[in-house]
Amino acid sequence: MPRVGVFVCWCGVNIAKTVDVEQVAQKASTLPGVVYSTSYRYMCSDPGQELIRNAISEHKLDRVVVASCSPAMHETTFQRAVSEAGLNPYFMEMANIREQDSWVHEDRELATEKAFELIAAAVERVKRAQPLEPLEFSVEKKALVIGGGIAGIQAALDIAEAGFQVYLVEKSPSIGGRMAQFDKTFPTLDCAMCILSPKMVDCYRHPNIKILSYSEVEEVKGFVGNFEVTIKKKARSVNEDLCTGCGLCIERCPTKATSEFDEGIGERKAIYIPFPQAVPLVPVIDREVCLWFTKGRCGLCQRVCPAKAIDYSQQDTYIKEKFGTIIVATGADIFDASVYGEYGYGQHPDIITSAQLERMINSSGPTKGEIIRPSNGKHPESVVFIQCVGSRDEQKGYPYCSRVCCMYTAKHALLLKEHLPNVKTYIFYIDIRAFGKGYEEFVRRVQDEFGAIYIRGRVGRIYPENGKLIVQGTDTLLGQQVKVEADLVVLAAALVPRKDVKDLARKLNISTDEYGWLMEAHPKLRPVETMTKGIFLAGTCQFPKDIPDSVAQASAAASKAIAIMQQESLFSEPVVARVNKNKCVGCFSCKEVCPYSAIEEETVLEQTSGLEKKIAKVNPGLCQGCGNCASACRSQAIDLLGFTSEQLIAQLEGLAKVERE
Amino acid sequence: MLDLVADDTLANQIKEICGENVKKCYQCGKCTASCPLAFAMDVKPNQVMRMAQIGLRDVLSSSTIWICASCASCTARCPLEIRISYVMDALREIALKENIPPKEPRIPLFHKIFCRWVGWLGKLYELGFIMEYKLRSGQWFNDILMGIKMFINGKLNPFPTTSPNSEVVRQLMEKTSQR
Repeated sequence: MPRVGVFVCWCGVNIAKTVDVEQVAQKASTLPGVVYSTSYRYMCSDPGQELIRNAISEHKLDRVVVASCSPAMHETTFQRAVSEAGLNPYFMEMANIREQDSWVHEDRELATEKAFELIAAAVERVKRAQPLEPLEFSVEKKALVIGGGIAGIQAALDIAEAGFQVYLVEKSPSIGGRMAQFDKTFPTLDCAMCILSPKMVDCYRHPNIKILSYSEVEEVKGFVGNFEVTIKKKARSVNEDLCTGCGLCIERCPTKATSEFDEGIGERKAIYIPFPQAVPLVPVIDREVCLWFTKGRCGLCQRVCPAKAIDYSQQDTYIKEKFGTIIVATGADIFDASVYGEYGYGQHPDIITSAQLERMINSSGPTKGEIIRPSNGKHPESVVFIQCVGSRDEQKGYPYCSRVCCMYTAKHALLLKEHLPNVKTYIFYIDIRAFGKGYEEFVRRVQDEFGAIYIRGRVGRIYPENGKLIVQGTDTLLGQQVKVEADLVVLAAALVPRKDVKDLARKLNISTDEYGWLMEAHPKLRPVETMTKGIFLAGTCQFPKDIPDSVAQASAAASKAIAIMQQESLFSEPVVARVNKNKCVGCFSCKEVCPYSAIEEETVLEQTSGLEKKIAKVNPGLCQGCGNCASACRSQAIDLLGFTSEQLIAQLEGLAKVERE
Repeated sequence: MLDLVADDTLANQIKEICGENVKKCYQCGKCTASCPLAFAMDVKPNQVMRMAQIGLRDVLSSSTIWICASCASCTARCPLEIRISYVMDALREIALKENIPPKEPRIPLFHKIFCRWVGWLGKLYELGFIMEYKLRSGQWFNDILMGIKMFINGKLNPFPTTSPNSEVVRQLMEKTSQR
C-alpha cells in the first residue's frame, strides 16, 4: 500500500480566502493511504519545498499530492522537489484548488468541500502511478534555415558562427529576400543593399553554410534532433559549378518577361539574375518563357557561354539530409490592392504600390532611380500616398495593423523629396504608428523638414481627370471632404501571409493563426518557438515586422537552435502514448487523429495463430502526449503514460466516493 | 466648451433598432470620403458616427440624417463593416419617435405623404402625391415646368389606379408603421 503525503497550499490569500485550508489538510489525512498531510502559506517557496522533502524522508512517503495551483504553473517545481528527495517525479500529483476552485467560487463552505474532493481524486490517481523515465536520443548537429531573407541570413550566420553546419534553403534564384529590393531603410536611411550584401557574401563564403538557392522543402519527417528533410533543388538549367557569372548569356537572350524582383514594373530576360549583387551569382532559365523550352529553338545562351555551363537537360534533384533543428524564415507576401475598386489599382498605370515605388527609387531598379509616372515617363509633381491598404480592414482585407507601412510611407515621402525637390507629397493616414527607436522623430522630420502633408482620413475614390488623378478623401480633423490632384498615387499595401505557407506548415507540423501567420508557442514568453520542439520562427512569417525586429528574432531563434544542438543528447517527457500489442487490431484510427504524425505501422506475429498482422506503434520522439490516440482507440489498446485509463478511472472514483459518504 | 459625459444610451438605442455597433468606428473617414451628398450635410457621416459613439443627442437634429439618400456607398466601403446607412435609418427613427423637429422638414414630409398614398392604393398615384406635397410643403410653383412637360409626355396619369395587391401593401404599411 503506497504511503501518500498531502500538501495543501494557501497561496497567500488566493486559496486560503475561499478554502479553509487547515480543515482540508486535516480531513485529507483520513483518506485511505494518506499517512501525512499539512498546509503551508507558499508551497512553491523554498521553505515550502523543503517541507515536502523533509516529510518524504521523515514519514517514508512514496507518493505526494500537492493541492495548489494549475500544473501548468508549478508541476516542474514540485516534480523537482520530490525527485530531490529520491522519488520518481511522476509519483507527484497536483490537485488544482486555485484555478478550478478558490478563484471561481465564493461560498467558503462549498469551496472547502470541493477542495477536499479534488484532493481525494488526486490521491486515488497517484496511488496507481507508475514510475516513468525520460527518453534519451541523439542530436544531429546541423540546422536547416528555410528562407534566405534578412531573417534567414542572420539566423544562418549566427548558427554557423557557433560552429554548427547550416543549410540555407531559398525558393528564389538568390538569397536576399525583400530587403534586397529596398533602396534605403528607415529611420537611419542606410542604403539597404550596402548593409545586406556583406551578410549575403558572408553566408556564401562561410565554411559552415551551404546555400541551396532555387530550392524548396519537399518533405519533413522525424523530430527534434532528428529531422529528416527532403529538399527539392529545382532545375536551374545552368551548372552552378561551371558558371562564372559573366552575364554573356543574359546579354544575348532575345526573350523578355516581367521581372518578379521589380514587382512587375520592370523586365528581365528569360535567362536572368534577379539583381546585380545576387548570391549565388548564377543565372536561371525561366522555362515558361524561354524559346528553347517553349518552341524548341534558339539555344543562343548555350552557344555564347564560354564556360559551357548552360545545361538544358538539367532535372529537378532531391537532396535528403538530417537536421537537428529547423528555423522557418519564409517572409510575407504583399496584399493585392486590386480588390479595392475605388482605388483603381491595376486599372490606371499611375496608381502603384509602395513596393513598386521602392523599386523605382532604387538605383539598380527598372528606371535606374528615376521616379516617373508610368503613363508618360515624366516626373510627378504631386504624389498621394494612401496608408492602411488591406490592413485595419475587416471587410476586404485583414483586421490587423501591418506595422511597417507608416514608416516606409514616411521614408518614401522623404526620398521622393530628395529626388524631386519640388514634388508635393500628401499622405492619407488613420493613425501614425511610429513606435520604434528613432521612428517618431523620423516621421516628425518628414513633416517639418520635408513638407509632407499628412491628412487624417481615408480615401473614398480615385478617378482620372484631364490627365491627372483626382483623389477624393476626407480630412476628419477639418470635418470636410477633400480633393487632391495627383500625378502618382502610391498604395501602402499590407503585409499578408505567404500564399503557400499553409502547405509548408503542414509539412513541418506547425500551426498557423486565423490569418495564416505561423504560430509561436506563447505570444509573450516563447515568441520564437513553435509548438513543435526544435522548430523556430524568424522574421515576417510570424507577423509583419521591420528589419530590426526580424534580425532580433532571427538571432533569438538561432540561439534557441544552438542551445539544442550543443547538447550531447536530448531527453523528452516520458508522457507519451503506448500501444498494447496484444489488444491493437490495426484499425489505425489513432493515425488519423494524431496531429504529430507519431503513429507508425509495425508488423508483428500474432501469438496464437502465428500470422503476420499490422499494428500501430508510437514514435516516442514525435509523440507530444496529447492523448488523442488513446481516446480514439476502439480496442482500448493505447494508454497515455502518466494518464492511463486505470489512473483516470481511479481519479473519477475518488471524486465519486466522497460524494457517496 | 462641450461638457463631455460619455453616455451609452444612444449607441444602445441604435444597436437595438438596426443591430449596428457604432463603437466599432475608428474614424478613418472613408464614409465621408465616399458620400455623394456630404457637401450638403451639416455634420459629416464620420462625425455622425462619433456623436453616436459618445451619445451626443444633437445628432438627431442634424440635417445629415435627413439628407442621407441611403445610397450605401459608405456601407459598401466601411473597412469595419458597419452598415452606416442602417445607422442613419435608426437615427431617423429615433428622431421621429422623440418628436425632434427635423432640420429639413420637407424630407420627412415627402416620405410621409409618399407612404400614405402607397398605403391607400397599393402603388403611387403621382399626380395626387405631387399636389399634396406641393400644397403642404408650401413649394407651390417650383418644378412646375417639369411637371407640365411630364404631363404632356404622358408620364403623369391624371387618374389614380390601384394595384391588384393593394390590400397586401396596405397591411404591409400598417405593420411597418407600428414600430
